Amino acid sequence: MKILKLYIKELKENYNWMVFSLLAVIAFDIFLLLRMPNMQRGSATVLSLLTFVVLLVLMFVKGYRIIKREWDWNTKEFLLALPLNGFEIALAMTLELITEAMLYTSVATGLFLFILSRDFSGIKHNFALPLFLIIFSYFVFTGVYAIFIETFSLTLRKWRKTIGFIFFVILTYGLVKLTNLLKPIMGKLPSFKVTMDYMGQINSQHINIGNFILPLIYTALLYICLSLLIDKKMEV
Amino acid sequence: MKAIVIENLGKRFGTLWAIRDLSFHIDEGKVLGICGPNGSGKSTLLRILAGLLRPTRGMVKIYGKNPGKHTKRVVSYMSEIDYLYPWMKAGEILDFAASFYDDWDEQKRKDLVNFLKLEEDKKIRELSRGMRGRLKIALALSRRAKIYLLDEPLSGIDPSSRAKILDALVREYRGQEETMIISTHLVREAESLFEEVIFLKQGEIILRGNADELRETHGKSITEIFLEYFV
Amino acid sequence: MTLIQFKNFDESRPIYLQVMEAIKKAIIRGELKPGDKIPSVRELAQELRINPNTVQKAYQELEREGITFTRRGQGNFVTEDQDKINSLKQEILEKIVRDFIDELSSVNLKLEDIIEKIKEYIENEGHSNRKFR
Repeated sequence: MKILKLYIKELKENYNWMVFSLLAVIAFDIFLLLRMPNMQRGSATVLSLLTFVVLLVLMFVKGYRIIKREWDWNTKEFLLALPLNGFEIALAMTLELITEAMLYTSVATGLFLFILSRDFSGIKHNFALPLFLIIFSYFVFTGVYAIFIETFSLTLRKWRKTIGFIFFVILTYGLVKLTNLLKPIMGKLPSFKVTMDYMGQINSQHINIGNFILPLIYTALLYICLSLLIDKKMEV
Repeated sequence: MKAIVIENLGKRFGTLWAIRDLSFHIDEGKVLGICGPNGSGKSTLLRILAGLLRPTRGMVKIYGKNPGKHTKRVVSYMSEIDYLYPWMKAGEILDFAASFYDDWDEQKRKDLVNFLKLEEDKKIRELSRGMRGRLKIALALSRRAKIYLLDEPLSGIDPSSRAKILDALVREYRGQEETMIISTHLVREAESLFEEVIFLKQGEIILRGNADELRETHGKSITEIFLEYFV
Repeated sequence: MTLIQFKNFDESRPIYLQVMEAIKKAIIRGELKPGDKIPSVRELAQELRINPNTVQKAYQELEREGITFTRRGQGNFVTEDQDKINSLKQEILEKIVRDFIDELSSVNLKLEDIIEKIKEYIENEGHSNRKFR
């Protein structure tokens, strides 16, 4: 199938970067863990948050690069002469980002759970799954968001960086506002009941599934906009 | 049967009109040479036919359809620039292209790779200019497409590769079923391939006709007529 | 095959005409005998590096003039009609003479001098290579 072939090509193209960036992040984390053996109990949170942010940035760069590279190498002429519509091209790229997000999420989640069990040995919990889903949805959203922004600025003829940046700011602001507006609706959605059992102390929280559904909805909308951009506006 | 019909085509980039008011048609099975200096609109025209650019105004029909996903299935476009993935091997890009085009012909591919002496195991970034030119031709011709759009297939390439490319074009061209458009400013080498000729200057047609008829009426080669018009 | 020498064709004249002339000359020279198969369209196009449609047009014209004929599925062949070949010789001879006279008309010479010069040349120069009867 054609989309599959394109997806495989994207994977092959990014394989080096993917492996390298993951190894670099893991090495960085191991380094920090070794350097700070007597970290405070909050270390799990701090280090994982740091890793999460780094990976988020990497996902953004990834999304940006996946389309920018076609421009830099002039391979856009080859790509856009293929008998594919915008939806198919966007899908192949999105699937590649999802694959990377999957890997990154595994690393981030694994790290967090590892440190947590190290700092709080004997802890029992069930938040692996919701944690994984939330992180995953953020990573995917970031990647697709980046590809959309960059594709948008590439359809402009002049002042790409300026207008692109302004567009990015406005859209981000808009999404934040929209999220706030939707909070009451999200509240009506079901939640995960998450419990932590440490030395007899039981803590439980409710994590609304909206926390990962919303980014995924945004991602789907961005995917559609991206497809339409490629189909209708992209010129080479 | 008209393979390509263009009416009042115009293409603007910002304030610059690369193509002004172009109208012509091409019958199926012909080889058309589009000759003009750099900046005359040749590449732009081919890109519009390939579906990479959208017309600002006017109409373009390929077998009655607007350029899009469906025309890309039957159109084989070869760009003037280096447009192949540098990390791929020569054989890889051929395999890759094969998976997208239903009209891909594996036998043609083997023949062309052989004929053009392509090293399939070499990465594209390691290939010489001439070799890259040959690879582009192999990529474009390893299909049974209905329309071939070749943008400057001979430019910037060493003489032996040019000769090979011309030979490959003659070998593979299948007459009645295939329409070929070759754009070039190296008229001398390619003119024996042209049946129809169009001269393009600043986005407009300044001369058009059957190659042999033009030779007869002008008493000159197409190259000489070209020099007359453009020097 | 002399057609190969023909590679240096003149791009300022219609190419299909030149293909026709080359075939005709080959027939007259006896390199292509009556009934011989002439190269296929593809072969000739590749040899000369010209558009196969141009060769096709030349072949169609030759057939129309009765110089060649097509055998379905087998290709194009030189006519076996000797009269046709003779009139072809005449046609080519006329063309050569016409071109020759056109060139000479720019040089102001008497007819006797011209014929004298021709005889002189044949006797002294390349008659060992020429086949004049």
